[in-house]
Amino acid sequence: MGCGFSRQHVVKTNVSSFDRELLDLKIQRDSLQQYEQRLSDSLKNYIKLARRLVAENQRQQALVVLQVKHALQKSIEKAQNMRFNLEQVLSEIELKQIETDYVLKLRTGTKLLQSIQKTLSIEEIEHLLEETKEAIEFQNKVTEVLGSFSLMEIDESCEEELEQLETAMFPPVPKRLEKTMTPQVTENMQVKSETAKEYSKQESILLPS
Amino acid sequence: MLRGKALGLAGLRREQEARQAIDFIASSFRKELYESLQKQLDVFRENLVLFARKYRKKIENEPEFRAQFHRLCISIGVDPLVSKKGFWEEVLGMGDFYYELAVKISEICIATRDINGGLILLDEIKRLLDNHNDEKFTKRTSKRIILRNRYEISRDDIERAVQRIQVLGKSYSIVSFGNIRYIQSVPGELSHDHSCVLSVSKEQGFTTERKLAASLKWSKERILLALKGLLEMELAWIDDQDLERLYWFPSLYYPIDD
Amino acid sequence: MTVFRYPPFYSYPPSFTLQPVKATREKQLKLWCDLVLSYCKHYKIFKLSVTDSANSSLFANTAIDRKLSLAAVEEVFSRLVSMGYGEWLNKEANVCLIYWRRPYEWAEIIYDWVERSGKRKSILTFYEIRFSEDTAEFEFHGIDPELLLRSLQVLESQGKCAVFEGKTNDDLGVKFR
Repeated sequence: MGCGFSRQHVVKTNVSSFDRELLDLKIQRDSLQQYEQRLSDSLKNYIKLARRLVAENQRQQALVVLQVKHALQKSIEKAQNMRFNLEQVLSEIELKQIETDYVLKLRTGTKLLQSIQKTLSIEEIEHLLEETKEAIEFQNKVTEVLGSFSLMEIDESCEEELEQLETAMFPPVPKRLEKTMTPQVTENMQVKSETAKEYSKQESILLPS
Repeated sequence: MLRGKALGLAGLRREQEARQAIDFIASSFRKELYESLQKQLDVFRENLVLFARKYRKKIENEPEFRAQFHRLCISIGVDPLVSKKGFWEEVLGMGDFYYELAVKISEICIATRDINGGLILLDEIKRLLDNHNDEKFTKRTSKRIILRNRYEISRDDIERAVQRIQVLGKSYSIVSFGNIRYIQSVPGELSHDHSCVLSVSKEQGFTTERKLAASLKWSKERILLALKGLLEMELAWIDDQDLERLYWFPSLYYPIDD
Repeated sequence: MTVFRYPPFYSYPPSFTLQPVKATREKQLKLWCDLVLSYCKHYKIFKLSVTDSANSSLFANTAIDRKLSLAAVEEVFSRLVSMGYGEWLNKEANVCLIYWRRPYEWAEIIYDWVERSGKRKSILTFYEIRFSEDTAEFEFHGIDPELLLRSLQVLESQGKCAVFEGKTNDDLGVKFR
């Protein structure tokens, strides 16, 4: 405690004049309750006293005590009624407070809803949906067009280029080797992934040692 | 008969050879002896294992028998109190028992240290353990540790468990004077004078300067010094609400919590 | 209410003489403080007067004919206050609030009840909190009003409520947010 910055997070609870008056009412109720309690305790004592007097055959005095007891009971009743009324008033006040609170919150809620609705009208939304639909259709077309352009064509043209390159780089096979050339060798010469090195190796194997 | 220089040399060599022969015989003899002893010891240990297995229940349940068995093991160089990893632990299963007992004893010492200053009667520990055992035995659980508590714990067991703790740190020791044994769980030496004072006060749990003078016949200074020492070691509390100052020793007597 | 069970040291004669050796005295005072707190908790006593309690069975054990001297009792109270387990209400009259529960602990319990019983956003009187039937089974029933005030002030500093007086009454009430 005593740390400056922590105070900023603490919200002070406001006590209005209304609150104070309400408290007064409640304190009043408490006093009544305490009063009732005192009277009840007295009552018990008087009952005891009355019994004792009857046992001692003091009839007159017992009667007096009983009269006092009756008066006490009446007072207790009165006090109870008063307290009951007070409790009713208090609970009415509470209910009213809740109702008011409720209405206020409802009002705020409705206002909030309205302001949200203002930012968007129905037309705007329909327009937005339309635009979105068009955009999606356009996108689909683009994909289609791109898709019809096959990469296989690129591959074939590359192959042609490679063959041209090969015939340009390496001299034609000497005539005397043509007989010894096996079909497999001729096939190998056309395999795409073969490098120039491997190619020349194959040839050297065939050369007479 | 040997004569001449050459004979001297030859002699030396023969001596050397003779010595070597003797050494050889001696070492092989030693080796044999050693081997035979080893064999004997092995046989002995094997028998011990069989014995331990056969009488396992008896060892676990009877403190007297347990003590004798322990002495037997020690005499052939086997420490049955090794902890979890040893071969002996498996055969005898005693390491666990003493380890758990040691833990309980140190718990008791720590709990009572504030009151008795770290000096507690061996019998008091036994009493607390016995009460604890009875309590635990009535709770029926299947935990292994509860089953172990059914074993009766003797004073010897307590002493052996304390010896185990001693291995871990010097502050636990078994102190005795007269025929009273204590466990001391704090470091520090009790001087002879201190022990005497405690010894003499064992009966009532407290003493006075006058009583000490009467039974020990020391000078007033010596008595006061000993008492001062005990007070400062927190082994004694003063009581000034009697006719003269009383010195109470919580480790000798303390009301029981029931 | 069951009879309070005194701890063993209460039956040990030297416990009632303030020990000269510092370390021992520290232990002794702690034992006495613990006793005061558990005694007050058992009998729901929220404040003690030094002089009255010094003559009560709290600090005197007639069975062993020993009692703590007034000076020693004052030491015990001083220790309680310095450890935060007590607060002097009236130093001259030597009345001390005993915190076997600290105010912040009471604050938590009371606020918990307030939330659970839906008493938030309502106004309660001190009397109501202390004596109404609603609170009969809670520990703070019958709590000392001074202690209640301190506990509510803890809640106040946390922004959870406001303690105030009525317009025409100076009895206290509290409003929970």
